[in-house]
Amino acid sequence: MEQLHFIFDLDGTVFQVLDGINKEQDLKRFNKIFGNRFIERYSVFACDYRHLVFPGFYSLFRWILNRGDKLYFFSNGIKERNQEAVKKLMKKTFGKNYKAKLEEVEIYSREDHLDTYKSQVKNENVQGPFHGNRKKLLSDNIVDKEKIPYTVLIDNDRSYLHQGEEKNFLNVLHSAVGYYQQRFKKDLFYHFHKSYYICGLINSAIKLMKRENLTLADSLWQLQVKDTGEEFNRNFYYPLRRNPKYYLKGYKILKRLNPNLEFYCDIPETDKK
Amino acid sequence: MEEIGLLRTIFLVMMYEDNMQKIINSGLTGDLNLDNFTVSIKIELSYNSSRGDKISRSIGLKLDKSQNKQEGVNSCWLF
Repeated sequence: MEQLHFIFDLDGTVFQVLDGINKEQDLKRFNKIFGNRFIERYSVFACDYRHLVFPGFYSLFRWILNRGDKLYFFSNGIKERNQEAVKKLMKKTFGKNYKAKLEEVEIYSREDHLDTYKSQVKNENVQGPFHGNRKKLLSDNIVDKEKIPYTVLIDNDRSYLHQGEEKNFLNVLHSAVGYYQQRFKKDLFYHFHKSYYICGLINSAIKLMKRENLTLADSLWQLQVKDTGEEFNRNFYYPLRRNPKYYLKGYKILKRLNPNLEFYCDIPETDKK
Repeated sequence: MEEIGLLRTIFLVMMYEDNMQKIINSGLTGDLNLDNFTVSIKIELSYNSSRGDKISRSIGLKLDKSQNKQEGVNSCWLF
């Protein structure tokens, strides 16, 4: 089987920075809810900021690399910060032997984005349905063109999607605003367990790919867009993100790698079937 | 009294900034002219954002006692 290429955004996807006026109070609150051990396990420091990694991502990275697939990170942060953050993520994921794994990982930063302000390219050739100043172009930028059918960009922000690479995009819920706040409580399950969703959806896409002899991008498009019956335009909000089925599937897979993983909050009552 | 007022202003400004972001480097320059009862201060702050950008901000403040008014309050972001 073809090697698969998984490109992860960082902020709002893998982790969220703990910052702002109430950061000390927030940290105390997290400690109270989850316990100090949990907070330390899922904290990564970069540029002196504490970033809280969503549970399950360490296992997800191991799952991907164990499969023999390729792992990339692509963030709008500056290079030094991204390198520091990814190094620490890999250290948390693989412990003492992280250096060899880190060498397998590729890191891309702000300068690797297509800056639509500075670029001479026309907006109608770049933007697609979701407008953004910077675009995460994959083809012949992050991976060779021929690998594109087997490449996925995982990002919470649709505006980074480059026109023509819609099938390569796996969207997760945005969480930088504060998934712990009361007004997000109904969505807490989906915000907090996004690594389970990614794993569940990718696993289903791989199965579909084998069964129907599709590419990874085509099978992801089938599940994430076509099967929803909704039209793909700027009002498309990836409804699969609120389908508990994929979260449960991913959880089962990742729990094999880390038996301590759990669901840290319940599925919303309205979504229980 | 003027000095207390000035220090209070500086303190309030710095408290505000401290709450806003982690201050990595801060500098304070100023002069005090008691004859004319005018005070001007400039506070310069710089820090790294969580994505690694170096961000600077400066705030200038002039207090003119003789005209009983406060003027020249400026703040700007430099990216």
